[in-house]
Amino acid sequence: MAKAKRKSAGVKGWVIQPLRATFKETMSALIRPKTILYPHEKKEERAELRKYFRGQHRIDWMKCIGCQLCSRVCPNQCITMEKVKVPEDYKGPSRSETDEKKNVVLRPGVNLGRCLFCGNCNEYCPTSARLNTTHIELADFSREAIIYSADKLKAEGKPTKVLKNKIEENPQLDEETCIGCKRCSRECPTRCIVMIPGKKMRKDKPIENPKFDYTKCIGCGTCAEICPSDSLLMEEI
Amino acid sequence: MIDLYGISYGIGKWFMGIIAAILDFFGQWIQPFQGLADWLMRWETLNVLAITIQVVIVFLFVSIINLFIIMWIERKMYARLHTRRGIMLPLPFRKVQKGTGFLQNLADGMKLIQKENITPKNADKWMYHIAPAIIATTSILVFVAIPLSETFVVANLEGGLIFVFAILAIAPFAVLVGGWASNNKFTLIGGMRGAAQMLSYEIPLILAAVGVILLAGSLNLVDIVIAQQQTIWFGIPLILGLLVFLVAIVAEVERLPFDIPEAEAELVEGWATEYGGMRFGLIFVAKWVRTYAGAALITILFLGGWSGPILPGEIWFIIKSYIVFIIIVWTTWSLPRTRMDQVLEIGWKRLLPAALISIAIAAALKWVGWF
Repeated sequence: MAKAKRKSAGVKGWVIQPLRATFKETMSALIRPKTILYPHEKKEERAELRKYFRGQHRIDWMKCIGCQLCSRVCPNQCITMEKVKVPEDYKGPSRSETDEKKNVVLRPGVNLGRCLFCGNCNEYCPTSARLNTTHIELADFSREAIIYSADKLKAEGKPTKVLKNKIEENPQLDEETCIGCKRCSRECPTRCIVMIPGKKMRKDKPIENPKFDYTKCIGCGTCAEICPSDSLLMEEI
Repeated sequence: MIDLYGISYGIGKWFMGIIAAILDFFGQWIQPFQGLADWLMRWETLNVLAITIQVVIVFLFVSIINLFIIMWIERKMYARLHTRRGIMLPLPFRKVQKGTGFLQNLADGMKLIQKENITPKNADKWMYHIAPAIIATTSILVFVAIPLSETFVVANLEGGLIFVFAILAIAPFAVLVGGWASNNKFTLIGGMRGAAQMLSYEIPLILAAVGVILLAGSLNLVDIVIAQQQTIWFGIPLILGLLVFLVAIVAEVERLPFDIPEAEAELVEGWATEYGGMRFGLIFVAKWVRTYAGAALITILFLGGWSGPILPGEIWFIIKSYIVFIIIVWTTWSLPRTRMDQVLEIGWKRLLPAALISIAIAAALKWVGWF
């Protein structure tokens, strides 16, 4: 059996082409090598990180409405909602409107030890309160230091009312089981629920059922989660 | 042009003059001191002293100044081939470590000197310790015969070229000795490869130089350069011989296309695997010195040595040899490693016929009467 002889690359392939390739590289790197002097020179300064680079989280406290959607979509469940004091001149809808005595709003904090920087939270945020930063130096000496509380992630901004249902789900009511407790309307971060009398009667009075304003609903699912009788269901419409 | 002997003689005479004056002063009371002073100021004594100073100057040039420049060039150069920045030395009082790479080699050397001297348990101790010394000494010894200019040479030997080849050919012997004495399979294979590789390149190397000898009509390295000054650089008619010589020199100094004796991917560090500390450093440094010796030899034989306008000859020689060195570095870090059989094939099937053709061209040119 004759062995097929492979054709050699010859002088051109073995000598001239490699020499030419390295010569080109050298000429391109002679003045400025492509590596950077890391601790002294950073990519952030060179503006080489993209606009949508997923670095450290920042939360615009003026835009955030505390809907908990980010903590719900987080695949690693590294976002925890903390109860914090209302920022001054914050006019957005919040828990505080109903719970005046508590005077608190919910703001997310992140455990960066678990975060995988997938960017889901930023993507689903209905008010675009979550900001992408290019800050990447997040390493620290202790485990506690990389659990970022809500205060650490605070970023200042202007209050705006941009509401967009990015998860594309809305709550559906099962009138058979609703007991009319009004918790959903109290907890709704965008105040899109109005209680109106329904068909069912209790002690000769109609039970109040929630009615949803789907133009304002952001599909956060808070109402479905807290409903005591499980009569709310998140569905695509 | 710098007259090396004249300068050395002047330094020696000045130094001896001081000593002789002191001895003369004491000679007033102690009679033999006067005779000693007279003997010190005699021509024969000063001649020996001048030659010693010459050797010291060349040794300092080769092993201190030149070596650090070569190492810096090589390490920066191949960093740039990889589009990296290359060596930088972090100094405590500087914020950005740019431009301090030159000191990195010094720091490496200081680190290596501090290392413990470890000898393998089953090694042949005497041979194990002598091998790096042979390599280092022979590498520096080459520069005794290499002239930087007509007068900047320690020994203007009549058979300088043969001397250089003979000294360069000792190193593979030390490679074999070191590889054998380390008593390790990697070093043994590396040493044997070194010996086998010598078969392939040594003959084309010398045959490529024969063409130059024919054209110059001399074995004296100074005479060869003077012959080039009178006609043209021998690298132009003997371009084939130049290429053969370049390839053979790269094989001679065991650089990358032909670094089979220390193929890092196959044999840990080749024949030098068991060496540590400054012995390893000596081997490494000797490789650089030998590479520079090869570059200098190419400059003398083919590129007209120190001939060049305006600048002094020594500067021209150094510029040319550094350019040749950079070309060697460029090929080193660009080309893939060859196999053992490929080296032999290149040596016997390609380089040897090419060297013979180059001799034929030289003979024809001589016969026509152009040289």
